[in-house]
Amino acid sequence: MFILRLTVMICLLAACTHAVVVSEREPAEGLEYRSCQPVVETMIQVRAVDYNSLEKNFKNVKDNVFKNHCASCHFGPDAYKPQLDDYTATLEYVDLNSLEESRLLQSVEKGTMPPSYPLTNRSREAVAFLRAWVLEGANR
Amino acid sequence: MKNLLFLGLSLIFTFPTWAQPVMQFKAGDDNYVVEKLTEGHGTIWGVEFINSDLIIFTEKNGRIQTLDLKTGLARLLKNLPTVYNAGQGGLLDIAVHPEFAQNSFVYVTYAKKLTTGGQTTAVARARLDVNEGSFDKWEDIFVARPAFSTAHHYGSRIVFDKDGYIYFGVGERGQADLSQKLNAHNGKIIRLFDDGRIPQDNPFIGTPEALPEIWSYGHRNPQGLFYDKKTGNLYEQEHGPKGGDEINLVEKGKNYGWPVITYGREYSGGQVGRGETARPGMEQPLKYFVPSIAPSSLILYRGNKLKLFTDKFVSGALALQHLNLVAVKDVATACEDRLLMGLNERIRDVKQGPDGLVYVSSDNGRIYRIRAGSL
Repeated sequence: MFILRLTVMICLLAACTHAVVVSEREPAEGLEYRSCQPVVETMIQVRAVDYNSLEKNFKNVKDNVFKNHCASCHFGPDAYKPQLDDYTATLEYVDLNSLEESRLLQSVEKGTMPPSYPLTNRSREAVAFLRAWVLEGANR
Repeated sequence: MKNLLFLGLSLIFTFPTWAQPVMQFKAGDDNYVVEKLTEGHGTIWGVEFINSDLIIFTEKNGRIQTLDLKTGLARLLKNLPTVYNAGQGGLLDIAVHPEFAQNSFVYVTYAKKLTTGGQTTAVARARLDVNEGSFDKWEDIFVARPAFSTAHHYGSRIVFDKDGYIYFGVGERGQADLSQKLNAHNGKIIRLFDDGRIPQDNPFIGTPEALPEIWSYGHRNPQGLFYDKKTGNLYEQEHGPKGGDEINLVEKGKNYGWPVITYGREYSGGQVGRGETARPGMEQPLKYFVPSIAPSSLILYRGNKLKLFTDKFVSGALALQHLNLVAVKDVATACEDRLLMGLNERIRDVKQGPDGLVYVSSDNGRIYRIRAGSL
């Protein structure tokens, strides 16, 4: 028996931290099973950070880029290097004589980091903000 | 408008910033929220609780991390075991000794490459200093034999029973006939003392040529194992071939039939063996799935925080990418709930947390938590 599964997404106010879309789908061929009851799923997506409104400083990079995309491996003294919640440690991966060639930027833009984590449009904005911060001199 | 404003404000103020709601779902009259706790890791194969505030998890690539549920920060641990990470092999399940507070032991299953050739399923343990974030020396307490150069069907979840015996599954490594042979560990559930010694009441002690570690046999690729403290039952879930995934009640010395009996078919579509589904002396599954869901983990939820889940088997599905719920009562004919389909992720491990909530990991390197309520 085909069970219609609705994935409903509700649009919230622009002021909210979450924004959403509406979609509806049926299961693909081969997903036949006897369902106990209809299940309605509502996907929630975090509202994109407005990078244009952010000053390009380390705090904003840490709170919006590193925290959302890198923290699980690169925050804390025992994390993989570079320790991205520490300004001085992060600067070790920024080449102030050749900002464009900084390892911090290269590893992200070449897709080495984050691992197993394909870039989305949202994370591309984060990368662009990281790039802008680095090219302006990676200021505190 | 007032309701929407309230909804928006509750989204902002109700939850810690690191626990990010990603989904709501409604089943019957009940509402649930799915929160993302961490992401950006490799395939998170095993998840376990050290205490109510600290998760420990394995990545197939060989890393072990803790996740602090108060801060949301993951911490990479030091002095990790050496694993063979290829195909379905790598660092697999993780379990915390029931008396961890006293002895600090953590157990893992992993794919081990042998100097004599091939690789196999092994179980190792080490003491973890939580404050230092480091393990001491890893010690193998079990290495399955024989080893093969194939890269699939390693098993293998780890559980402890109420008496402290350790159980885990070993996959048949693609050598189906070995599941019926008692002189190989492949396709078996193994039972040991927590230090690897062999209990003398294991069922095949004294059986000529049988390996004494074996508790049950006739399994294919067991990737779900759950000890139910309420009943003392040991439940196992395994991958069938094309169809025929099973949930079994595992009992001492019994034969679960693979590859002689199965509800699955070969990947080519042909029958397996003689195409039998039952034979005297071989156990029937409590439930089988056709088509396969590709189950990778199993719990029987005994909590009361999530009404929809109570007294149901909960398993992660890889191929069909969902969280599968089926009632333990009349399980063979019971209906199913298939949740989290909107995530479009291969669900790898499932645990009931000390807080009574359900935690799941995915091959996409994320850990989610399911709680009752709405945003």
